[in-house]
Amino acid sequence: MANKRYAMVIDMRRCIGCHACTVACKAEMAVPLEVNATWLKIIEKGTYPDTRRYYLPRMCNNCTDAICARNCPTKATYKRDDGIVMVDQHRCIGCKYCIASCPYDTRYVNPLKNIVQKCYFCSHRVDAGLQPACVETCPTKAMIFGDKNDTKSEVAQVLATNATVVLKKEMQTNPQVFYISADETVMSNVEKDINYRTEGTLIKIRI
Amino acid sequence: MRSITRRDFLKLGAASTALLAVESQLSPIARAVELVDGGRSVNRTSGLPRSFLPSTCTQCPAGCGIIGYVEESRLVKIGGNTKHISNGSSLCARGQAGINALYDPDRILVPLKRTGTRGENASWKPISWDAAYAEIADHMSSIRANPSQFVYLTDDLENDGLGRRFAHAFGSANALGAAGVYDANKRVATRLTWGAAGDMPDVANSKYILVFGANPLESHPQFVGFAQRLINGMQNNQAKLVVFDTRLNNTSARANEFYYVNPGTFALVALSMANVIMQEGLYNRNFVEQWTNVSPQQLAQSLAQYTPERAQAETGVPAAVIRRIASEFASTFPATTVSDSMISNHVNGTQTERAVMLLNILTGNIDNRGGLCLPRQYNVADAQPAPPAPAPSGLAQPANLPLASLQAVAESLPLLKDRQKYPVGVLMTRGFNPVYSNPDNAAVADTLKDETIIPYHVAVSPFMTETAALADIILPETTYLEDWNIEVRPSPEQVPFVALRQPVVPPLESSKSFFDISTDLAKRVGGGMEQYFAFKSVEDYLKARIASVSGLAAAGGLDYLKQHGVWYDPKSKPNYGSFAAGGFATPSGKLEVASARISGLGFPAMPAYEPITAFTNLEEKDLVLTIFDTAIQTDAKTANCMWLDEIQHNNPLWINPDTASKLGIKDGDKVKILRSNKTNAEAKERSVETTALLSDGLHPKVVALANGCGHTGYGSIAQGEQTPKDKIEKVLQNPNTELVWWGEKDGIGVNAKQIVPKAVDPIGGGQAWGDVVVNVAKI
Repeated sequence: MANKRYAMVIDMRRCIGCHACTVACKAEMAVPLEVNATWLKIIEKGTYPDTRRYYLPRMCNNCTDAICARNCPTKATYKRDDGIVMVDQHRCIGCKYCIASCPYDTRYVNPLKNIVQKCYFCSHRVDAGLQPACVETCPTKAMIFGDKNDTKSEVAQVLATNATVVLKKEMQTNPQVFYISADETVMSNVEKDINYRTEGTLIKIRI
Repeated sequence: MRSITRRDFLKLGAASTALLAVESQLSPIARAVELVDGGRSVNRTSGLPRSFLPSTCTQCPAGCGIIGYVEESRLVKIGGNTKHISNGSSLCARGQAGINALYDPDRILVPLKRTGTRGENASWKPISWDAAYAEIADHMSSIRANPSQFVYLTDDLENDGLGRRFAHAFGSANALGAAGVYDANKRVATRLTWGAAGDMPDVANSKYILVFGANPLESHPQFVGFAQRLINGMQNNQAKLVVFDTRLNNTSARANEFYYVNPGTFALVALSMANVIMQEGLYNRNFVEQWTNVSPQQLAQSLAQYTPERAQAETGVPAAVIRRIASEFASTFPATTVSDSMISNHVNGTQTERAVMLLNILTGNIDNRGGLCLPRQYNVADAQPAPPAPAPSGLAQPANLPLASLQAVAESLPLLKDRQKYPVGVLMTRGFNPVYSNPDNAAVADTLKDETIIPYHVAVSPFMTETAALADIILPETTYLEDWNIEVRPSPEQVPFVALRQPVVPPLESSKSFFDISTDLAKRVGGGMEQYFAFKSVEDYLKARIASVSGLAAAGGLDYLKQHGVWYDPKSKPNYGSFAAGGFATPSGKLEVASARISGLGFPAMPAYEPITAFTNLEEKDLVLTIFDTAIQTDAKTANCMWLDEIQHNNPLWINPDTASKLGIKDGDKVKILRSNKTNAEAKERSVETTALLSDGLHPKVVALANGCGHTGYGSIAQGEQTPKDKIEKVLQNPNTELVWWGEKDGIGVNAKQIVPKAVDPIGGGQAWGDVVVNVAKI
């Protein structure tokens, strides 16, 4: 039997831009202030009166071909058999090569521990048979998570029956966070998304 | 409030079918995934399960079901209660951040007595509970012969059964709730029209959802439960969403069609649509004839003045759009409107709500599946023996607002200045922070500072809010996470429920629950009031409260609630069309489209458009201020939660780029927002300063400020200040308090309410937050 391969689908037709995922992640992973493992990008596009808002919940893509894992000098970053990209906190020396390697800007230095962290798809919850914290709390159930190698799973079926996109496909990292109906503009320039994590203002970029 | 009895419920063949139907609507994907969606939590390192208890969130009015997960007596995570019929496993940002409130580094853990004068020079010394009780009992005993001099001010009067009981047992009718600064106009509009306060659009089952000034995807009285059903309606039921508003928000951003409306003119949009529906014969004649107190001829005649062309001229919405949307709404069944504060928080708010409601009435979308439904909620009686309700007072029911509910707090507080007519001996505030939340809050602060008006002020509060800071004594109540209560809300699922709030952790240090506080005080004050606080334990009190809920006792009563957090009759399904049996709870038993109670006050009996005086003859420089709620902060309540402040800690002024350009304002410029004298000739000049945020999502005549920022008190987190560990009580310590970064970097914003004068709708008594005209200038 094939390995499990965990993947996330975020259906932007259901997302209401409420930040519940942002805060659920803070609580679940004890993420300190100043940094975020999950956050929400919001943009406004168009001119009055034809203006729209678009959102993009952001987190580590847990890439199948993770550049960060390849570049980590101490092998602190490694991949589990189920595809989740982990950081072994005891091996991490805080060199930040992984941060420089990540095309998606999803890693951060924990200001209290001086080690690099990110989203692990709530591996501890997954191991206990639970959905990740953001998926559980999402008010409109816009997030779908599961084993995409199990063809009967919700996530496999959603992936099979919907057009999905990933961030920076051209980097060939094979991201495991997929989006349905995400706006092109909100998906661009994600390497600059650091602003959303550290400034926290509701809307930072207008286009 | 509508009470639900067993006979209301339609019988079902199989109870299991009802459960399954409810479950599938709660979380349509739950059965398809292999990982469990909520209900458990594990330690990150050990993987061991955490102990947990279900309870109820009060971070906003919605009252979602929560589960508190605990390790070594410390609350480590809050999740949604999968068994809760409203929100299931889902919680919003505020619900998740409740831990921050519990462990607020500035939380008050011992009773405090003021030394020095009230206000800026106050300092506080810890005293024992015994000494605090003795002092309060002395003051209350001194007004024993004039009990109406005891005034109790609370947030949610409906769910604060103990506070009302305490005031009534003392003999005072002056238990005041805060609906007057929230949703009073909507409550009165609905109560006058269909006999129940509030509504619950059945959006999950609707085909066409017409939104007037509401923003349910960011802010709604049942936020999570309602937002998930609205999205389900759109995604699973292909409902069309059409929004009328003055600004782009998370709801209008999601709409199939969105139209900007000139501020204050929403009633004209709705009435012109109603006119089209009548003129084109699209109305449901049988329904109108059977269930309203007016004839189709009367309706057509009353509405004829509201032509789409007039609406276009005054509202800015094209006549062709009004005709088309009216026709779509009337020809798609079921359909519903959703309306909220942005239309009801005006001096014409009650009639505007009634105008919107009329669209549902004309099309027969009243209490039907997918239509505008009555609020389905248990009416949980007070515990017996209950104190007799004292005769209504002029404070609780101001003489100029005979139709308002007993919560016209914006109107009531200024009345206290008339010491002859409304003498106060003891003021007790709890859970409500008028010095932040009321209009013209500087005047409220002045009133509370004046010891000749308020001789003695007891604040029951876990936090040093702006209001508690003006008290003489502060009783450190527990937070909502360490307390008990019976909680009821209108059900977005249309099946009523009863929920329990229970301590997910024991009270921290020497903080006490309000049950203990009210019981201890009642015994000390005595004079007969102690007989209503003779319960052996809080559980006995709660058992007495739920005794009136039929079916709950058979399910296990309080023990069931302690285990599951919420109860609803598993056999029940939505009893749509419940009015068919006994009519509506109005004097005529019908939908009172023509309201004699309104015409009795000298206003038009029929839903009507009354232009807002402040908005007529606006000059070029005049702009209308909108104060909007977000999904991050709840008015005065949540700014002590660091995870929320990190997201929303300040509030720039949203302004249309064309408008800004005319004023020479660029994005990020510092601006002064000055209340224009047009609003209220007597009001003092007031202004606030913030930065400009240029957005194409604003009507050119509207500027907007988010609510929930700019606290002048409420502790270091709300002030955006770092707190060194050694300054914090051990039980409240959290390494994050040294990482607070936003105060210095971005500032904490402004409290927009400072520049809003007190002005209420003369029918509903609700504060007209949306009627403020301002001038904006670059500094």
